[in-house]
Amino acid sequence: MSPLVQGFRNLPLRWKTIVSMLGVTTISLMLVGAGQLVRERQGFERQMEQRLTLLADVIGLNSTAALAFNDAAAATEVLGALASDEHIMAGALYDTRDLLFARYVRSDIEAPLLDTAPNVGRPTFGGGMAAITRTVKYRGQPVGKVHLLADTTEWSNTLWDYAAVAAVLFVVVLTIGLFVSIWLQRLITGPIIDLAQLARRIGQERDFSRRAVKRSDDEMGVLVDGFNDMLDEIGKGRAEIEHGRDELRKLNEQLERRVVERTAQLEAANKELEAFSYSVSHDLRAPLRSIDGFSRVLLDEHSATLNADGRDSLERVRRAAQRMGMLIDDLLKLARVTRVEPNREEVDLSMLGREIAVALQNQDPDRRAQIVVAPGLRAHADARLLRIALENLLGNAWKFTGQRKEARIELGMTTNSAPVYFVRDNGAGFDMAYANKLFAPFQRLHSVEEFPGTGIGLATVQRIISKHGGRIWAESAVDKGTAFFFTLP
Amino acid sequence: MAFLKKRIKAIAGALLAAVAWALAAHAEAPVLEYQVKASYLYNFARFITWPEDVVARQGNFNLCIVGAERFGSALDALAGERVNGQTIALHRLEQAGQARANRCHLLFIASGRDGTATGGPERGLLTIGETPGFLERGGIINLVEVNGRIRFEIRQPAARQAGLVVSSQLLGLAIQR
Amino acid sequence: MAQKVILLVEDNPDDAELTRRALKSNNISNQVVVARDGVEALDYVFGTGKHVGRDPLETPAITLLDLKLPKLDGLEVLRRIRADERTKFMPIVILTSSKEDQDLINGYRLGCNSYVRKPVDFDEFLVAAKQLGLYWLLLNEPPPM
Repeated sequence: MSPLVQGFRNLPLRWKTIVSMLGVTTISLMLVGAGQLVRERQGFERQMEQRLTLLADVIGLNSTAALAFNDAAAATEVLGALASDEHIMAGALYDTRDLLFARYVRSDIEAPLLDTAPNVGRPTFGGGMAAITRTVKYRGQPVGKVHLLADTTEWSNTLWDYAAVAAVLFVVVLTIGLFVSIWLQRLITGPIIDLAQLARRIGQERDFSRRAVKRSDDEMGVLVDGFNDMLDEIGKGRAEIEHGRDELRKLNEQLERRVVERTAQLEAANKELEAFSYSVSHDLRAPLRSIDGFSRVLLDEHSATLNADGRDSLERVRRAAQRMGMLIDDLLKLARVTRVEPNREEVDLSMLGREIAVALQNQDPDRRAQIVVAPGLRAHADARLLRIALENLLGNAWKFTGQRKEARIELGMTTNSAPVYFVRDNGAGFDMAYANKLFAPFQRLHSVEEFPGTGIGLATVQRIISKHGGRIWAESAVDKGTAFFFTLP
Repeated sequence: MAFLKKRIKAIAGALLAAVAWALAAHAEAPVLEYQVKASYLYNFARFITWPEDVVARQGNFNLCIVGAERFGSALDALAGERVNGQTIALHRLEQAGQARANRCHLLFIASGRDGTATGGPERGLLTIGETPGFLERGGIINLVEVNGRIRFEIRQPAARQAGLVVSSQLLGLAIQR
Repeated sequence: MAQKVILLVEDNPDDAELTRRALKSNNISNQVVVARDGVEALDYVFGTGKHVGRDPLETPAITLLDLKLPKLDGLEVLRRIRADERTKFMPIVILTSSKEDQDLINGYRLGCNSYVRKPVDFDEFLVAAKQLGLYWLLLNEPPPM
């Protein structure tokens, strides 16, 4: 698309109308002017042709005898009559052999007359001159040729005058056209522009209660009606939207209220849970203590009345009670971990690992086990929770390497875009087929006789790691040892 | 007609060539002088109108010459030409008196041969001479040499008496007396 | 020197009995006075209510204080004993099944001398009782009155 067309397309409607009208006016004026000019010219040429033909014929007729009797002086005399016509610049007579016979040239000019006769025919125009050559006949027989040259500059000037007048007229008409088109534009595009302004104002002020004024019953009226209908619809639509928004706000408020209620309920539930834990730790343990304690009393003070079977039974009662105590303790620990939000700080994992290693070694001084803690392990985590996690992991490793002569436990880190910590041992290991059960509470992959434990430790570790947004997984094989990996992002 | 026009053109060309020659060197060649005069005779026939009755009466245009020997072959070109719708018929006469018998339309009397002039204009007869005083002796046109050019004088009353209408142009070319 | 009493504040009779036995089996022969709730414990310490006339300055050799008690809980009992000039320095060992951090912290903040968790395993409790007796009854010099 040409930039001109594009420019016109972006013109305001007002100017589009005016430009169009003026454009049409200009084109018609130019066409009419040009047509008139052509007509004028044709008219002149026809007139000139008639005049020249007549004049040439008259001259020819008057020169027949002179030509016949070879009387150049007489011929020249005849040609001299041309002086009476100021437009004739020159005239010439040629004999039957087309040779110049007699000539006339207006005194003030240098006439381009040829020595031999030009071709006979209709007048030719050019160079401000018109030329004609005719055969001179006497009683049907040619006696020579006559040639006339006429000045057409005056006529050209007339044409120029005509063009000038046309130009003036053009300007006048165009000016009138401009006013007419401005008036017409107001009449036609005025309502459209009003409508456009109204649309813009409504767009800016968002006031959909405004209406366009209908002034006519033409297409413009239809447009105004349509526009107003549309405004009605928009108004309705907006009312609906407002209504919907109110509804939404109410719903939101309800939701927020509900969230607050639920949060309060949750907090209450949490408190209840805490109270429950508290009472569990107190009240559930008390009977166990009694069971164990009095069993011991029985064993100590009434052994004489008990046979071996009775003593064995009492021992079993005591073991069960103690195991239940452990279970309760571990459950409480898990509950506590679940409740607590991690309080992150810089933790020296290496130091933590070494402390736990020492504790483990002290617990079981007879065991030969090598605990290797990589230096400089650091993490941004809750120190207390991390201690619980490491205690469990290292404790597990310690436990499951119990039957190894050369036990080896390792705490370290691999860096693979983000640090991955690991606790690796060369202990009993487990079948990876059961890996999915590893972190579920009370799930055990070994019998209690083999390795004691409650099956809550790894569940606790997993909760601690996931509380930190991390991930824990294991790699193991039976008798090939186990490695636990975890991240602390 | 086309062929006719061609012929006329050829004759006129030849005649004018002769005229041109005569203009350049008229004194040397009397034959050339008569060639011009022959063409004059032909042109006089064209520019003068004969009475209707005379034309209707006769078939040919009888061009009669007294002293035709001076023209040499210049006259031959005229024979058979048409003038005013009639074919030219050449009549070489010994004396002017034979004109009536030959029903002449045009009678040319060479110089020195007009002793036998008719004395007055005769109806339908154009008399042309080349002798000074020819008009006074009743001739209608007399050929005269002026400044090396052959020109002519016309006695209009005589022409009128003979019933001949002379073209005004021809009159315009004639020497004014 | 007349043997001082051991005050055992314990609502669970089984626990009271077991504690008594544990002490006994460790040859701790001091008289054990049992208070069944917080109010009774304070009555004994300050010579009020049921124990009117008892001299508060006659402080027990050691008070074994449970936290979860009827009427008045153990921490409150501890707070009141420590708030009184006469009993400010008397040795109090919290003996409880709670292992809640909050209880531990509060206990120490209110000025308990020791915090012992009652184990389920009676054997362990025996060890603890022995250590308690050794320390508080034989090794520890009580503050001057």
